[in-house]
Amino acid sequence: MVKISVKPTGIIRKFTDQTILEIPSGQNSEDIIRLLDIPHDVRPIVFVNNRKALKNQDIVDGDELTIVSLVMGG
Amino acid sequence: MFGNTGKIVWVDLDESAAQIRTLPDSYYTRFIGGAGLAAKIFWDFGDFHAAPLSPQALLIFMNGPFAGLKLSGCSRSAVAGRSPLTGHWGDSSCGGHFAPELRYAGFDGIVLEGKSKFPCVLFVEDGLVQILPAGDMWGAGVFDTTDTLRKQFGKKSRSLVIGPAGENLVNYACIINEGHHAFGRAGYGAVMGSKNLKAIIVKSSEPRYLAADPESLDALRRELDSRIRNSVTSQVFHENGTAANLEGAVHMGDVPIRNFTSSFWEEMAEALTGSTLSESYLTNKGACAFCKIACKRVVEVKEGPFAIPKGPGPEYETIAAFGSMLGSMDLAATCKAGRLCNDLGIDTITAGSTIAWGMEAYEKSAICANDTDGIVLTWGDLDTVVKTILPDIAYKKGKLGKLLGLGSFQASATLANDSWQWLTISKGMEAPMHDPRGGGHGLALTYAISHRGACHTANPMLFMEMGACYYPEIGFEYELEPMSSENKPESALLAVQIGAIENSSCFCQFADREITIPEWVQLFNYSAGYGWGLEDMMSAGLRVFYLQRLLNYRFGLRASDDDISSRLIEPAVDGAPEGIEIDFNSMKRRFYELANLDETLGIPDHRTLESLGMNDEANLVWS
Repeated sequence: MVKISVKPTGIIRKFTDQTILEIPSGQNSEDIIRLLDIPHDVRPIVFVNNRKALKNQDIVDGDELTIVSLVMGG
Repeated sequence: MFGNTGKIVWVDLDESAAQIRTLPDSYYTRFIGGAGLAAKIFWDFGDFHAAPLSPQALLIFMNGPFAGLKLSGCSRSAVAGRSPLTGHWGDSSCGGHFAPELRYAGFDGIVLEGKSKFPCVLFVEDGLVQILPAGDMWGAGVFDTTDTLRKQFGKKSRSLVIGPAGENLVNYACIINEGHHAFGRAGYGAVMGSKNLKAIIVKSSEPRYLAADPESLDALRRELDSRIRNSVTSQVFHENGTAANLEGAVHMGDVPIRNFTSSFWEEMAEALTGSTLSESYLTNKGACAFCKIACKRVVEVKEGPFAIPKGPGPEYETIAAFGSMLGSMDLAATCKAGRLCNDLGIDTITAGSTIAWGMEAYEKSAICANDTDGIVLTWGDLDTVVKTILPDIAYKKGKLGKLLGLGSFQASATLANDSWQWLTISKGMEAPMHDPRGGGHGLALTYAISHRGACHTANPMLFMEMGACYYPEIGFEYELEPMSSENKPESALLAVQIGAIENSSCFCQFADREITIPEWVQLFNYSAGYGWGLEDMMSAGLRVFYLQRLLNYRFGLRASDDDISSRLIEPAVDGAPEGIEIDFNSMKRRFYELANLDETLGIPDHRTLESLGMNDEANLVWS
C-alpha cells in the first residue's frame, strides 16, 4: 500500500474532498479518477507534485495529487 | 421562406429613411445567416475605402436562422463591419433578448449606412420602422437609457444601446442589450456612435417562428434542450457561472496573470472563482431568452469601496480581465469594474488588457507620468481603475484616457517605443482571457488565423482541446493534449468550419457542443429548410471562413498578418506550462497547406474557391 494526498480544485470539489488515501501500489492517475468516482464529463486531469501527470503515470508513496477539471468557460 | 424571414431593414441615416430589402434564398443556404450573411452583404454592398467611423461605413446586425426558436443557446445575433479597433473586417456576437424579438418583428437583420443629422434612435415594430430623436438619452449611461426606452416603448420592447464610450468614438466601445448582454468586441459601439445612433429598439406583436418541418423540429428541440440542460458542464455554469472553474484553469495555466507574465496564482484563483462569487455577491441567476443553462450572474456588493446595487454581474472574461490580468484578487472590484463598463459601454476584455499593458509599460518606464497627467499605474490598484481610468477612457479625458482609449495596439504605435513587446494581440485585437500556453497550443494558431483578431469564440478550438466536444462524423476523434501542437492544424481546419457555422447560425458555444454534427444538419433543415446534407453544411462553414479572409485581403491583410504577439507564445515562467515552447510557425505552415491558403497572400487558391461555388469572389481577388 502507498499513502498519497489528494487535493481537488474548483468544480472537482463537487465530487471529492481533500483527503489522504491509502491505495494498493501500482495504481496510476486514471485509476485514482475512477476510485474517486469523478465523472469523465468534467474532463478531470491529474497533477502529481505540481506537474501534469503523464498518461497512466504510476502513483508512488508520498505523491501529492491535484485534480483539475478542464471545463472552462467565458 | 422558413426560419428566416428573408427581410432586412436597410436604413440610410443620411436621409433618415428606411426600406425593406430582400435577399436571394441562395444567400442563406450559401452563407447561413449571422456573421456569414453579414460578410456576404458587405462583400456585395460595402465600401472598402470607407474608414470604420465614416458615414459611408456599413454596420450590419444579422440574426441566424434559429433566432426565435425556443431552444437553449439560440438567442444570439451578430454585428459586423469594419472594426475601428483593428481597421479590418470583424464581427461580434451577443446573447440576450434582441435576436428573437427582431425575428418576431419580421426581420432577419438591420443594415445601417450614413450618419444621422441628429442623435437618434431606430424603432422597429413589426413592419414599421421609425427614426426618432434620442433627446436627453444622448450622453446618458446604458442603464438609464435602457430604462428610458422601456418606459417609452413598453416593457416588451428590447433594445441595443451604446453608452458614452460609443458616443465618444472609443475604439472598443460596445453595444449592450438589456444592460447585461454585450456585442463586446471590435468596437461596434463606436460605429453606432459615429452614425449618431444611440439605440435600436425592436418590438413585436406576437412570437412567430415559421419552421420548415415543425413536428420534426419540435421533437429535436425538446431532445436537445433536455440534453443541454442536463449536461454536467451546463449544471456547473448554471450553479457558479462561467468562472465556475477558474481554479482549475489556473492550475492548467489558462488564466492570464499580470498581462500574461505569470501562469499560476493559487490564492487569486480561490478569491475570484465562481463559487466565491456565488457565496459572496450572487443574488440571482440570469439567462438569455429561452436558455436553460442560465450562466449569467446578478450580483450585489453591499459595502466597501466597490459597493454596487443589485444588477448585472461579471462573467469569467470580465473577472479575469479586471482581476488576475491587473494583478488583483479583489472580486468586488471586478464586479464594480464590469458594471461600470456596461454602463459606459466599454468592452471589458480590451479594456482590461489595455490597462494591463499600460501597467506593465508604466512599470518598465515606457509610459511615464507625463503621459498620464500624473496618474500612477500600479498592479492591483483597482481603485484608480474604477474611479479614474475607466471613466477617462469612456470620455476620452486627459492624456491617459485618450491613450488607453485607443486600445493597446494603437496606443503602443502612438508611443513609438518598445512597449509593443508587452502587447497580447493578434491583428490588433487583444487576446481573451485564455492563455494559449496553458489553455492549448491550438489556441495560438486559431487566435492568429481568426479574421477579427485574437478570439476564442471564432471557433471551438478551446473546447476541442479540452475534450469538451467530439465530431466523429467529420473526422474529429482526437483526444488532444492541450500543451502540444500535435494534431492542432488538422483540428483547427475543422474548428474554423464549425466556428463559422456557430457564428453564422448565432448559436451559443456553451450550448451547442452538446449537438452532434448530424443533429446540426437536421436543425438547419427542420427549421430553415436548407435541404442540406452533412457536406453542404460543412462547405457553408468553409465558405464563410474563406469569405471573411477575402474581406480582410481586400482591407490589405496578408499571410504575415496571421500572427500573434510573442508574449502569448514564449515559454511561461511558472505554472503548468513553464518552459514549454509553442511551435507556432509549424502549426501555421501546416494549417496553410491543409486550407489551401497562399503562403504570401493568405487567401485560398482559385480552384478551392471555385469548388465552393465562389467563382465571382475568386475572379475578383485573383484577377
